Amino acid sequence: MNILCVAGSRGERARLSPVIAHLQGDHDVVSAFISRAGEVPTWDAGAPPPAPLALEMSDAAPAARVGAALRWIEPLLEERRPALLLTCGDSDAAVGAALAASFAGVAIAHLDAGVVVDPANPNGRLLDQAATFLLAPHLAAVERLAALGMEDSALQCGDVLADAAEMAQGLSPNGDCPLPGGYSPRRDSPRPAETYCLCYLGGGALASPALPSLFPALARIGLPVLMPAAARARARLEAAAPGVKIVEPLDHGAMQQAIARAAFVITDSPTLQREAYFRGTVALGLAPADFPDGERSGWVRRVDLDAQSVIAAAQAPPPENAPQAEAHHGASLRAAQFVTGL
Amino acid sequence: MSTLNIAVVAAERGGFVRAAPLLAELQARAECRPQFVFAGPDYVPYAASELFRDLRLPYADAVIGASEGTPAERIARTMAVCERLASGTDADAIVLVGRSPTILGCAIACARSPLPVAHADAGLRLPGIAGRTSIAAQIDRAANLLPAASEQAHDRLLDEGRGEDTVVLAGPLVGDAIAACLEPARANGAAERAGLEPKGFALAVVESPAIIEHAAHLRKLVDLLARVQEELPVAVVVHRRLAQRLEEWELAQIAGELPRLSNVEPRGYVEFLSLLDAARLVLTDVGGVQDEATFLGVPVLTLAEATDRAATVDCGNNTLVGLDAFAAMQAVVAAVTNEYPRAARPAWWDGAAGGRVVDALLQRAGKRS
Repeated sequence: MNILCVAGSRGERARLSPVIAHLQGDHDVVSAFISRAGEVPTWDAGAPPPAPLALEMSDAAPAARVGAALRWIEPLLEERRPALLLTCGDSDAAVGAALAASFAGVAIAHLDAGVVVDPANPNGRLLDQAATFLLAPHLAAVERLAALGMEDSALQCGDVLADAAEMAQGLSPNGDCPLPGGYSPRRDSPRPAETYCLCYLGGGALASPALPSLFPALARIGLPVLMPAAARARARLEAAAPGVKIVEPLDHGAMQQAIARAAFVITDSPTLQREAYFRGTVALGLAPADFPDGERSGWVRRVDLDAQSVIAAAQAPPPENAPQAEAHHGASLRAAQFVTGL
Repeated sequence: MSTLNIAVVAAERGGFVRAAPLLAELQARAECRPQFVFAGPDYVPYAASELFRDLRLPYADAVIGASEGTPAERIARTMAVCERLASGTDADAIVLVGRSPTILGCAIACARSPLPVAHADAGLRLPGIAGRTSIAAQIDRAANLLPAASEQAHDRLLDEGRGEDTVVLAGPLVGDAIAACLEPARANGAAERAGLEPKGFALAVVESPAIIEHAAHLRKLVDLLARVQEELPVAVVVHRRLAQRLEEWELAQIAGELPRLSNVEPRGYVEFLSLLDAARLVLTDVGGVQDEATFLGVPVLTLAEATDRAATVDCGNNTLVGLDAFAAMQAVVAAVTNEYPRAARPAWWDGAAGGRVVDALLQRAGKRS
């Protein structure tokens, strides 16, 4: 089967990678990145891209970004004539790709179907509507799809980030992947008691007027703060967060190392909250992640951008029970089998 | 009460037919100021066409459709303009009419809009996965107000999880368009001019790529029409793509030699309605024509295995025959011998859908303000 995979963000690339790894042996797979300025256009969760393509998308209005992706994907669909478009998440790039596929009569598979992170973002619902194959990470997502009359197309395959985390572990089996910012990764077991806090913020948190209150709170916790950030955010952050070690954006492997070695992560990224769970690191979520496992178990803690909330969540001890990653292992294989009809 | 600017966006023929009565209804309401937004390519030829004249469509208040580039480039440019329209500075509500790729692009551009965004004639679906993932279903998903074309469409939207506050049973707008054009259509005499005896011929309207773009299917269609014309003269609405494919696959000569099969090329909506109204029955794969024929009480044989116009089947006027000549002939014989079941119009098919759509828009816009 000829399959085109399109990702529009770091998280979407991370989730698609293990599925692509399963598809590559038996199918003709092409992966395309539609990245925004400043992102690291790599695809390195263990699935080397057979023919990666990248489009730099500027910061434009959503419809303009969808339109840019549509324009870019249309000739690719004509040239490759895939039987399936595999998309993920809720980015404008994924919607643009799905729009092009709809017009061309190409079947669509949507990974992370039924997930609702931000109810104000219609993209996930639009992708679910367009997709023939709905790959849901958890029961709540399946139930949402059923409420929309889509249960016949849905599979609860599990969270593919469990497989992505495992694959990333294999990228650097000796633990010699250097972390930026001068931090040395340690592979001691148990986890070193004091390392650093990994802070990763997207557009929503960076634009929040409450952002400056975050960094004094982190300083009171007493851990160094490591923060990957693109150039466009760096100037603002350097002014707002004088004690924070701001580094270049990390590729997937380095990000996984950084998560695994952190005392905790604080982020508004739903993907990073899920990745932290699968790496056994506490995540303080500044935005909803729609990740019931993490939230129920206490590994993912919802916080607001205020000092008290952040300090209390960061200082609470890790849960006694380890993350239940096993329930999700094999999600990427189940997804690959479902979309190829095996 | 302040005046509400309501933008009606349409991009292709079927959309224009449905937009016309909606614009007329908005024009008649003192509290509304309609804006006709043309989102298709090539505005000037359309503006000068008999279609626009028959439908009494006003000049477009805005032309946002692009005419140059690939389809994706055109739609992308249209989306960018539509997003500005949806920001709320120039309109208080938006009605998307039709289910073309361009209208889907507009719907996605409007999906984050704070305005009421309606999709007229919502809820039309083929059964199964094809219907669920169709362009019409995607437009419905992006819209926040869904005037349903029929009871079946209304129930389908509720089954898809849309709330009672989003779905309104309005009926099909095409009924309003027909009601506005029926008198001139009946006076038009298109059948007689084409040498066809009123109620003594079958009209064939075939447009779907599933038939036209497949040589084997087109061949089956010609065979089917050959059988039908033995019982009843057949007038085929010929368009450029159909003519091209018939030539290309060497079917034009076969069709040309059939003694009781002729071609018609209706210009405008009135002439088309005149032919349809005069037909004994219609053979078609076009959803809109199934609606139009059912509104006029003309039996329909649908040349497909399924239809998204469930109301026309449920009321008994529409028989799905696919390209099965035997099944088609049974229905043709029934129509000729007056044994085809006489169907009542579906509920809410009263030619007043536009009023219900506007009422729903005003109610929603009023709640917002």
